[in-house]
Amino acid sequence: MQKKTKIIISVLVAAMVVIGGFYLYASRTVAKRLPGHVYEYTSVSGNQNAYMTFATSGDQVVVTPDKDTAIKASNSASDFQQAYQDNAKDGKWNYKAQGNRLTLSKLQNGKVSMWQYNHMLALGKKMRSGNFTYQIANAGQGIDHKATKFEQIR
Amino acid sequence: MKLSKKQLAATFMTAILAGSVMIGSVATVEADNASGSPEEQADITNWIANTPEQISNNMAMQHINTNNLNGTRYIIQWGDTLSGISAATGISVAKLCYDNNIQNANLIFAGDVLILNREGSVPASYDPNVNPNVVAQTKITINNGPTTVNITVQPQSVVKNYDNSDNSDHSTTIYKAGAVNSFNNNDNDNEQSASQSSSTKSAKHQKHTSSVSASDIVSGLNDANNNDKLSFDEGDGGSDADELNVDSAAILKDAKKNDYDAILSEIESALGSKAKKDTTVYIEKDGNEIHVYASVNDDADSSNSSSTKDDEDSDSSSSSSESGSSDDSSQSSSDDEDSHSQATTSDQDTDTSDDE
Repeated sequence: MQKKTKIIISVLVAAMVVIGGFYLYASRTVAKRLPGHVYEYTSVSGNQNAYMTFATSGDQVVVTPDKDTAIKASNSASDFQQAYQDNAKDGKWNYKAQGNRLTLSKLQNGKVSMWQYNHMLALGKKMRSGNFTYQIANAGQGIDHKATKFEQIR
Repeated sequence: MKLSKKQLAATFMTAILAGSVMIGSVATVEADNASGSPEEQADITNWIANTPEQISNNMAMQHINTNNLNGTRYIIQWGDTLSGISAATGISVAKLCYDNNIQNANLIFAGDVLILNREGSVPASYDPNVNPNVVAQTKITINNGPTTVNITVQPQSVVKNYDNSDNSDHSTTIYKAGAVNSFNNNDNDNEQSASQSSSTKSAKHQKHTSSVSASDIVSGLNDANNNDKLSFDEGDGGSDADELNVDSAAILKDAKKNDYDAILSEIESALGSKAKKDTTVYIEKDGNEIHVYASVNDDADSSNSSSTKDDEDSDSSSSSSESGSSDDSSQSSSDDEDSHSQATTSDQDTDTSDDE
């Protein structure tokens, strides 16, 4: 085998290792990036936002359309609990992140709705989901093959 | 090329007309975002309660002056709640329900028209029996792709509340639209026909269940009950009572068969340790659904819990659910809304790919 061919193969292998490593890293760090932070979620249509403040510990999350509420909830554990309880009348939100998936659940009137964001990639302060699986009480269930964005704002 | 005055004038007029048409169409789309593709409808942002400010903005987009509400028609948007609309307009929830013939606040629908009227009053006896914090629902089932999906990664509190080994079998969750539109002022033809068909279905269903009322169930339970710690009453028990996670359909079925022992057993199971305390169980019938609430009267119980009624709830969840919890269970257990029963030991973390 010629030296040139060896070099090309080596470069390709190295590139694959780097890309694969990057993908593994970006897809396995979602859970670590959430606790204690506020994320701005951008909807499928791109023209709506929600703000999510993840508890420092536990699986609670404040999900609100109001940015100020979300930011305030991240100030301290007591502020978080205050915001969580204040919003509880509109449903209690919890989450779980595992691997490259993030699921948000809403419990209200004994009925649970869930949105599972799949194929999540995290880089810097941004996360991207390739699609999401949903089960919405009294509404329906299915898979949306539309990308959505999460951006850490605090 | 030199344009004549006539050509210039014609071009100018065409530009003005085309511009006004485009602006009008954009304004219409912005004013009513209650429609959209299934992908957009399922988006989580549609299922988060709008703030009163957002609702005010939505009303402004529909050219509604909130200072002059006299039979004004507002198209309900995704995320709207009756409480939010009430806060945005100053019209009480009861008045909104009364004017719009809303029997159950779970039944406001995105895209429907809501009459906003400050004038007039609500009869003192009128009780809409509503939960005004539920976001606007959909009349059309939002199915995109497979009609049954499985959520493999679930928050611990959900795992504890439901046996999710089969997601399609949540006893208290229905993953399809089908609620009855209780409005009498819906002017959307397509949705009206859907409403009519569902109303018809509901009427038929009502016929089957009309023989059993909440008072019948309370009476039957009082007769069947041998536990002097438990008492039964009608209603929702107010703010001190927590809703129990029970199988509404099974209770109705058992009530029709006069099998109140089975209902009692179901309720005691949902109560868990509360069944051994001085507890009042409230029965409420909401359309074809039975809601069961429990209020613990035992002082010792409330003193044990450090903060809230949520702790009482987690009290009643069995030890098996505790043992099934993992790293993040400590916080979630203190805030679960309905962790009375159906603890599960199934491993929900099994990460099987189902998302394609």
